[in-house]
Amino acid sequence: MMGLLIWIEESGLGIYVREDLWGFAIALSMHAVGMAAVLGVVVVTNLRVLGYVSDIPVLSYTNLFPVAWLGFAINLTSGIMLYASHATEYTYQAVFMLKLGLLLLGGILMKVMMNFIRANRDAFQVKLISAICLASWVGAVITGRLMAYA
Amino acid sequence: MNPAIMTWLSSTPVSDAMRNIFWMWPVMENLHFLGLSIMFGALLAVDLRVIGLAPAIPMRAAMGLIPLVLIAFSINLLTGLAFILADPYRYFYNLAFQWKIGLIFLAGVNALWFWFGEHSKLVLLGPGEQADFPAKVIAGLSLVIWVAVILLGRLIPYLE
Repeated sequence: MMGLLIWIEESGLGIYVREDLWGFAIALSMHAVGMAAVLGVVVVTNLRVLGYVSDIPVLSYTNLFPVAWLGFAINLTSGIMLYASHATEYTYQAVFMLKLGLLLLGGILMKVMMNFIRANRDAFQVKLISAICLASWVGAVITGRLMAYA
Repeated sequence: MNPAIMTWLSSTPVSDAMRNIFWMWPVMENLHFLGLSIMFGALLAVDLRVIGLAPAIPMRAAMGLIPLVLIAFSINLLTGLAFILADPYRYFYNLAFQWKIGLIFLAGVNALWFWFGEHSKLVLLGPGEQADFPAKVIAGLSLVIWVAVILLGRLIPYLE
């Protein structure tokens, strides 16, 4: 395992992001913009499901999903760059693993919630999933930020 | 910036709390991140509808998200102020910060143009109806400026 992590860190990408004057700063800035797009769309969609500005149809928020996916692509790319630069460190950070788990949970719940809405499932069930979904995404941002302190 | 003002800014109770209570800085950072994301998300819904990329969103109803934009902006104004009070010398001489503040003022002017120049016309738009060209320019500028603000904010530690 450690051998693999060292290989990732010593790859061209790992060295560039870690040692270039702008490598880490560029990846981190991209990561902030991608976060704003993904979390922004997730938050407004879930707030709507929970009842905020209810005269906007819930399904019309799917118009914003391509932007959320664009943000996700930006963050997958910049996230891989950041991870490659400090693979031996991040892999053993509990907050990082928690962040990945919360992202996975938040993503799955977003999909389940939209399926439930399209299937006209019970409104309470949908709101419950939405609340947990929103909490997962907020948790993912917080644990991500706390990586700098771990 | 006048040295006396800087000294005064760095000696408020908030400044002390930010410097001496270990969890203050990360808590403010997290609120700042959440605030920027919420604000950007609400702006995406409004601006993409105006631009024409989110035609299913009713324009008039989308204006109901503007209070959320203002609440999220207030969170970031207050948490941002806490960072400045903790260490004004770090920020006022920082190139990324100077540009960021300049762009926030520009975004504010753009928002006033939106509110006073276009809002009354936009709320009359029917389902899927296109906004006029100036409104689309304002909405596009809004998204571009705020993306730049986020990028510059994240670059503050790297442009010292």
